[in-house]
Amino acid sequence: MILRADAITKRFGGICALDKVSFEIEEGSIVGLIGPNGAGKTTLFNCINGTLPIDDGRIYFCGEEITNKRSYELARLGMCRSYQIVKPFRSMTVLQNAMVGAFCRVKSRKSAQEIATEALETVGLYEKRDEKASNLNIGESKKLEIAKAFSTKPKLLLLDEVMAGILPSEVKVMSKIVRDINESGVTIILIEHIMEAIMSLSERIIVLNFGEKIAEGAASEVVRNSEVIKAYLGVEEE
Amino acid sequence: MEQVIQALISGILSGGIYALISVGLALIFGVVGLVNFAHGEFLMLSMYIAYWVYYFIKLEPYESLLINLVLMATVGYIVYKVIMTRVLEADHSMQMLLTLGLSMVLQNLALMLFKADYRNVRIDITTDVINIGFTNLSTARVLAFIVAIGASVALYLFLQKTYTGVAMKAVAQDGKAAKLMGINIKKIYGQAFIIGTMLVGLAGVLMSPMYSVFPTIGANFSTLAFIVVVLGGLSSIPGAIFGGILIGIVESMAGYLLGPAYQQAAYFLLFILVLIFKPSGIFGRE
Amino acid sequence: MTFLWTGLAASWNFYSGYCGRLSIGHAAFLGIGAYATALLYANYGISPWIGILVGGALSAIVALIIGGATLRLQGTFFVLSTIAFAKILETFAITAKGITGGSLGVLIPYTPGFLNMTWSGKLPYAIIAWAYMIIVIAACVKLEKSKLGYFLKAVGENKEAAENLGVNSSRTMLKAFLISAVFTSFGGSIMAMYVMYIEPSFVMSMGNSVQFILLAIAGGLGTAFGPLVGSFILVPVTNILRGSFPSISGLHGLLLGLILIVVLLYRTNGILPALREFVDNQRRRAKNDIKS
Repeated sequence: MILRADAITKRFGGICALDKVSFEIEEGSIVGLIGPNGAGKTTLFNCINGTLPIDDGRIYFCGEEITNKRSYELARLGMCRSYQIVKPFRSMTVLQNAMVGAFCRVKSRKSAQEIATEALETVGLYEKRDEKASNLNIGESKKLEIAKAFSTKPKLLLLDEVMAGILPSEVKVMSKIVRDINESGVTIILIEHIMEAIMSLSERIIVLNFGEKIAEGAASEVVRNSEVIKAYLGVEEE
Repeated sequence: MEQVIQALISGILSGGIYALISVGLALIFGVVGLVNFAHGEFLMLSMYIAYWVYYFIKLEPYESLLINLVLMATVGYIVYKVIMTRVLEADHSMQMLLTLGLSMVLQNLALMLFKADYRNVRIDITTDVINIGFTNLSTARVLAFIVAIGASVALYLFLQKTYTGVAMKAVAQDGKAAKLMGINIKKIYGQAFIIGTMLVGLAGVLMSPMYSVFPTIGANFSTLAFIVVVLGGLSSIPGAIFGGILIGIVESMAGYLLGPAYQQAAYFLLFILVLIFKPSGIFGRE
Repeated sequence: MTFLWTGLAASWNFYSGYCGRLSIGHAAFLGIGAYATALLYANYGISPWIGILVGGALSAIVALIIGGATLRLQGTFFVLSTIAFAKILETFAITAKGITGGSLGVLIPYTPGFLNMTWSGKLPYAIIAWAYMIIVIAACVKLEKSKLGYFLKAVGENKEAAENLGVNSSRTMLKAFLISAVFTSFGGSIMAMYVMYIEPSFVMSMGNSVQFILLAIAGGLGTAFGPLVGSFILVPVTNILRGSFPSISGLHGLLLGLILIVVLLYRTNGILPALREFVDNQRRRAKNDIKS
């Protein structure tokens, strides 16, 4: 068990963004996290990775309690995320962006450069390494997000909609990148709206709706779950 | 005890002027999102206008109010058109540096043209006092306080009641949404900037019978106004009014209790404490 | 003097330039360095060489306090709080007459000698200022290549994203702020020994910090050699101007202000990056010419 969440609750004012969400993630797996807009998926990421403090519940990472630890501490422990709305360091080059992540593990510039270069090769941005990050298009920026996070040599990677907004032809490439990273030994949790990609990638899927976990299981089971269908199609209860 | 009350009253009176200066700044900051470090230099400019008009055509500052305001509005318009429109999209630190540059230019221009001399407008009201029983108050200061608070309240009402005012508030809250609602933001920005400049111009007029004018007089008032605006919760007009009075009191009490040298340090300290413990300002909402 | 200004500009750049958080109150550190050195020497006869170090240590402590208190503040708030801190220190320098001599300042006794860091000629000062400048610029070069430099830039651009990558933003900012403060303090010490007389309105004033900030911006924010380029163009130009029209006071400041505005409006990155871009373009053009 690499990650265990135990009844995480997060409120914004009176609204309950996450309501006692519990789940476990097995080491080495790819888990999909789906749900309609506003279901609390990104909030869940924010809470797991220490961007937002949680109001109740506990989180364990590799057997250690990490509830409300700061995100830089978690990065050192081996958990890193990508952002749905990309956050590149615009004035720095692509390579330098990835190097910031690599410095999490090594001290010298040379070794950081090596790690960063490797990460850029994995996501296919090596050719663009000397471009300013602000010059990348959306697909490339999403790849850079992954490369930055991958450079921290994580055990667990939280990917937030890395396929949203990119060309359909790129979705396959991105899927392959995600798989490659997973095969190198990194556990991945994936938020995604593109069903095809998430179905083919993830072994298990967790479904959130209005801050509650409404289903969890193998991909093929989950799509047949009546709660899930209701959440997505918005069927009214009779 | 009497002296304490005297210090208190004196603080409140200066606070009115601080409020007026700050209200202009708060308006510009709130609506246009501009951090204007040259605000104090506008004050200096207005005081020089009052002085020279008095010097050459013997019109007292109060009588030349209209001329002054028109000139100040022109200055505001030019500065806005030539400089500010280019940096509306830029980030705050750049705007700050730019206005800092502008304040340097204005300050040194004044130094070149008018020399470093302290210049006074000496008119009857300068020495007039009103007796309120146990102490005498300078008529000019009381008048300044009343007009300053009046103008600040008028601005507040303007923002509440008129179309332009409401549009300004809308732009202050969400520029993009306001644009979509068909508000001409550029125009609103310009108007807010000019009104802010005129308000500080009015402050200059009110101050000129009491304070000497010299090229660097603005510098202190710029930082002071900023502190007031931050204390008051950034773009809030009532906040700026109360913040101004509060700073006036703090300044005057610190001067009385600790000595004049500590006046500035006292409100700077207050400012730092507020920033650390309640960054949304004393009167700001969480 | 140009060396000294370059060093000061580079010291400031070390933090604000790379991180994008503008500290307008850096004069506080200049003042601490200047006062520590001058007072220890004038009152207790302690060698300025030691005074420099004491000043540095004091600045480091003050930097930790200011830096720590202002960590959470962003943009405008940070800038204003640095001004406020500097003003408080300035008030202290003026009012604590028993320690600092109040607004009269401190006169440094003139007894030439290496230990006293006092010489009759200007050359030794120039050498010290030059060494100072080289050290600070070298530190900036090193910073650009180091972990701290990468972290600092990253934090400056996006704190949340940097933390996600394992950057302890508080520690990064504090470290850089501290180093920058200590360097500025060294510059203050050297300035005090060169001028031989210090007073609050000179070493503690905002105007002073604005000057070296300006040099750094004009040259190029967040570049190791930007302050060098900025100072070597601007300082001589303004000095010549001041020399040629001594009767017009204010001309110097007017010009600096105008330069600041022009640089910000037209070349937001400063002179050095602009030059680089120009050279790059020329090269590219040359390459294309060869190809065609």
